[in-house]
Formats: sequence, C-alpha cells, structure tokens
Amino acid sequence: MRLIFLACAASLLLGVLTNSSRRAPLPAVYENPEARMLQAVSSSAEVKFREPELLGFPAVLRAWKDSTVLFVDAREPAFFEEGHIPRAINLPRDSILRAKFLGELSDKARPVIVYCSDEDCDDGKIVAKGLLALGHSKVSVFAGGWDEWAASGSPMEK
Amino acid sequence: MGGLGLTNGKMIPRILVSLVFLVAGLLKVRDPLAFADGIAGFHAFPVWAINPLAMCVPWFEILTGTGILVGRTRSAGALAACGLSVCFVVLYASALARGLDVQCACFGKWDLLQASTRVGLVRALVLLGFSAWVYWRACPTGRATPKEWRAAA
Repeated sequence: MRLIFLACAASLLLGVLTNSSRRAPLPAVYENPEARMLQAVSSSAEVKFREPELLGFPAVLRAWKDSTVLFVDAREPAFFEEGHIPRAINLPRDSILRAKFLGELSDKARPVIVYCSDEDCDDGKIVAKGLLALGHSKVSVFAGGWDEWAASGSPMEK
Repeated sequence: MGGLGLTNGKMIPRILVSLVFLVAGLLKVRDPLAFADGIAGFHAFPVWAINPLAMCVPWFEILTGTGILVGRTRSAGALAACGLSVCFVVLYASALARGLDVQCACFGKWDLLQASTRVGLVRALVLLGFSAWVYWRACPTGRATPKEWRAAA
C-alpha cells in the first residue's frame, strides 16, 4: 500500500505543479460551462442576460430557407465536422469570445439561430445567452437541435 | 524487456491495461477542463472536489500505467488499476441508475463522439476484469491470497 500512497502524493504534487504552469490554470473551485461563458462575456461587454426564444422545427426550417438568418452550431468541432446544417458556423461554448471576430456575426441585428445536439444539450442555450450578452438582438435556440434536423431528412453539410 | 518483466505471451493484457491508463491520463492532462466537465456530469462530487480531482486523477492514471509496466511495481500498479476501475464502475452504475447521460471525456474530446453511460459502464467493467487479471498474475504465487492483496502493493 506504501507505493500507492506515494503515487497519490506524487499525483497531487504533479497535478498542482502542472496546473500552476498552465497559461489558463483551472481555478481551485469548479465553475460550470455557463458560469465560465458568462464570466468571459461579462469581462468584455456590458452584460444584459436574457433568455433566448425557443423555436420548433417548422419555424427553423422556414428560417433556414431565408438565407439572411445565420445558424450557429454550438457543438464541439468534432461533431460539427461529422455533419451540420448547411451554411451554419461552428461556435462551441468555450469559444464564445470568437464571436466578436467572426465576419458572419459582425451585424448584431442579423437574426441568429443557435442549436446543439438535442433537447438535453444545454450548449445551444448557453451560446445563445452569450450572443445576447454580446449585444446580438435576435437570437433564438432550435430546441430539437441537430438530432431533429437530421431525423427530418433535411439537407446537411459536412 | 527482461527488466520490465515482459518476457512471455501473457504480458498482452498487462500492456493493454497499462496503455489504457497511460493514454487516458495523458489525454486528460492535456485537457483538464474537459475532464472537469466530465466529472461534474456525474453529479457525484461536491463542487470543491471537482477541479482538484481533474488535476490529480490523470497523473495517478499515468503513474498507475507506468507502475503496471515496470516489473518491480506491477502488483502495486495493478492494484491501483483495480481500485480506479472499481471507482469507474460504481460511478457509471450510479449514473445509469439515476438516468444520467454522462460523457466523461475519459479519452479526451474524441471520447465525446463515442461514449455514453452504458458504453462507459461496459468499458469500466472490461477494464476492471483485465486489471484484476493482471493483479492476479502479478502476485508471486500466481494467485492472489487476501494477504497478498494487501502486502504485495
């Protein structure tokens, strides 16, 4: 058992040392993704936290046919590359500040629909709240997300 | 390979278990935030424990994987692997019982594409089986007695 206790102590030491040497170390206490995103946004913008509107599939399909609406895929890039709604851009929750530098999001009055994988995935709502906080005025969430879009047989892009 | 004690065909499970822990540990060390989110997804730990676990568990896995590979420490490494595997099984079983869909990022973000709670539980059970086998083989008599389970580590 002595070796295992030594390994525990060494892991503790290595964990603390490597974390302190990181460019962005983990804080001592965990913050959930939404708190992290809101903290990132609040340090860079005047924050107005609002709840985004939830849209069903028919409304989303109508919006997709109107090419002025921008679709934002909030899933991780690996999922996005497997397939996404045509013309959508990828903006995962931990990259929310990239929104400030994306040409597609330069017009804050442009309608935006954010989606994630399915109804249980919170990332769509998190990213939508972040975009609202960054000053975008028309941000909605496609509640059914990618699963509902793919199941409907609608066009997809890889 | 003699110094590592890897001299016969029975070493394959040992190398497999070792590699699983080494790869899982290294991927988590690279992305501790994803692992912290994964731990939080189990809803089994207090908030103050999540980040310390995300910092330290990957290193414990790396040391476990290395320990299994090195001849002199393989029984301790295998015992640690059994302990970790039991923890994984309990966590996944409890998540499954509570109807949670957990993606632990145990093998980095790549894992998010593949894993579900059920897959995670099966994977943890397989890992436990292999780890127990490696420990059983690592004991001097070739079969672990309760005394050896305690003493060999």
